[in-house]
Amino acid sequence: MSTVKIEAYATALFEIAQADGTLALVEDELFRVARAFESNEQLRNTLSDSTIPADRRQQVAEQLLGAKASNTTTQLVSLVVGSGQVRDLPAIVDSLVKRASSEKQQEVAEVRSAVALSDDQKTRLAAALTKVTGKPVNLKVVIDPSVLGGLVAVVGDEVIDDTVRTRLDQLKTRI
Amino acid sequence: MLAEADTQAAALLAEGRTRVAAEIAELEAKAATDLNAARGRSSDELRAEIAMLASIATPIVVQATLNDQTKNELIESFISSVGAGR
Repeated sequence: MSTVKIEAYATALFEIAQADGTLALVEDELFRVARAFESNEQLRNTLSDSTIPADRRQQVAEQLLGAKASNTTTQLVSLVVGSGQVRDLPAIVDSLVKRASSEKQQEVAEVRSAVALSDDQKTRLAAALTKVTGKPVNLKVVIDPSVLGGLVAVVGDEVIDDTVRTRLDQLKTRI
Repeated sequence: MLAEADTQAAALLAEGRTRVAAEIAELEAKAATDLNAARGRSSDELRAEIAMLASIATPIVVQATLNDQTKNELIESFISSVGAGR
């Protein structure tokens, strides 16, 4: 999909969530859906399989998200699935999150962790990243067991990586 | 005639000795080169094997020791380190 089309979808989804008054929640949920979609090949293949009727694929998405996400998020994902553009869902969502962050004069900070962070840890981490980058951050935590331990934060072009995975990789290179 | 035969024999003997000495020197040089190559190869192979075993064992050991408390400590360490401006 072209960048223009991705931006158009992101804008549409953004405006729907904003009009619904659930932008903060929806962008957070969509971000997590996008990361899950990226890491799950079977899910990607199923939701983008053009041999499965669009309404059936939408049903699958709605059933998957039903209990875990708000109604608006579920409907927005279903909309993208139904339009046949689900392969671009991560790019659409990233654009939406960036736009939502921009509106709040924030920079997206994507943090990967092997385990969930407590609310207190998220608050302190956001404050620390704000301090080090000089910009207020919109913290997005992705649970990624492959990092093993520690955290990696990506804020704009800046990467702060202190994960066990990276340390092991460095050790392997040195060996 | 006998003297000429003696001279020729001596010359042949000297030539033979020189050729044999050269061949021995060549063989010794080749043996030394082969030995060094073999030594280097076995050392490289051993090093590669140790590296391979270490790279397999290290993540297993690390993962086995990474319990929830350690993971939490690593998160706290990251927050403190970033908060302190790294």
